[in-house]
Amino acid sequence: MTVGRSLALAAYPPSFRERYGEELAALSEDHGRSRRATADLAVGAARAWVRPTFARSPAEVRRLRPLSSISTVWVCWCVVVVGTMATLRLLEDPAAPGLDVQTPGWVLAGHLTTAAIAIAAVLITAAGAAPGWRAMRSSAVVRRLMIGPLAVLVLVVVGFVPIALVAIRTPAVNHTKQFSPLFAVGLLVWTLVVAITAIWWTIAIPRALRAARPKLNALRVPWRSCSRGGRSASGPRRANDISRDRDGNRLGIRRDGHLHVVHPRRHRGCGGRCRQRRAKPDRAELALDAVLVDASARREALGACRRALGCGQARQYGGSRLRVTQPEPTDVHGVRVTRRHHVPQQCPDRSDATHFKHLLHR
Amino acid sequence: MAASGWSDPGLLVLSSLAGGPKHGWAITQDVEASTGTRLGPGTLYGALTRLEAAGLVRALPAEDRRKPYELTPAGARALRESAEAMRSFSRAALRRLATGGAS
Repeated sequence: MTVGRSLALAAYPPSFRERYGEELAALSEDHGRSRRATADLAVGAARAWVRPTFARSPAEVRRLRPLSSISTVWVCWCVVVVGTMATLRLLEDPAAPGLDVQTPGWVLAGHLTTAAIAIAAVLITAAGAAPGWRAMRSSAVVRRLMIGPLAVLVLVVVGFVPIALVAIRTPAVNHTKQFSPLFAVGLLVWTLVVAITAIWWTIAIPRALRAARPKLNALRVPWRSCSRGGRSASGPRRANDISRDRDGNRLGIRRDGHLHVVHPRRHRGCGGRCRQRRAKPDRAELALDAVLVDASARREALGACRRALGCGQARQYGGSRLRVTQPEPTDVHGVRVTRRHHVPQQCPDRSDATHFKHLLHR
Repeated sequence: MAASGWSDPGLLVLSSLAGGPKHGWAITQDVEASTGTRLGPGTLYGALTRLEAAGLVRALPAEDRRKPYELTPAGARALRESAEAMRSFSRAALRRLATGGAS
């Protein structure tokens, strides 16, 4: 396989490579050394980043989509930053023909660009430092992925200090500083390390993010991680809140063991006094009638509901848990379900998750 | 599936899989033999991912590194709808050509 072909294959998103990598590599080998096939792979890789498609369970798709978005934004940000800095260096050092880098407009543009990049870097660090640190503490894979980039980043920072000191202390002769060959070699090596750092961080963050398997809520921006109605509508997060239904209603388990449904949108503006209202009976009868007998059953039902509703770790879904198909009271994994109105028999070609969703949304 | 015409890779893949399960290279060769269009690997797998996500095709157990795909009942329905839409379009076009007197 040619280098270009290998690069094009490596350029596909990790989720795509995990699922289709082997067969796509085999197919590209069948195409021989065709340049057209290589170009087609490169275009396909770009398309896979821009419009990711996941042939997975809905929960897995919900988990992978924000990961993919964050990875894409991160890679684009890195490319823009490195590209901008490199372009500025190329234009200014030495100044391109016809370009006067001392003009106020050019100086202002340079300062604004640097400030924008610095502010974005601070925001990204502020948002990512704490979750990144937690991920590194809890996962050996993340530690292994990030130890190299962190080491070269330290090298860059440490290397910058002597370079800056030498540059400041070197006297200017006729407005031009005369640096020693040793300094030039040092600067070249430092620039090379900066380039390696940039490339390594660009690749490492998406890989570490994927390895860390963060929860969906941790990936959302803060004002989206709570309910649509804001604090007054949704109230503080409860440890046993499990999901939302299609209309944005929060489904949870109360202390007395009943499942309940909160209508965030209907009670917006009430000042939070009535934020935990029951849903209309015809919409949540199943949920309100499910009596959970004890704490362990509640925990199990919580997990089962989470999986059945398509959130959380859906891949651990065991297949037939929390199946509610009988009109008579029944025990489901320790959960006493007393559903009184008619429940249709389970459709054989539906998964349990789909079926349970169907029941909840009736 | 919204087919956009003969050149839509998704439709070409569905049409190829209508003849039985095939892996990527077999689909490429079949599509080239039947329509003269050579699907690149990126285009083919772009189409396969979309079709699989939409539930129109499904993967079968891998043979070596290659994984064959087959049409699902939903995929067969989608292909039939597209083919019938194209047939009615071609009929209408041919009828108009015949009655309009254009050569």
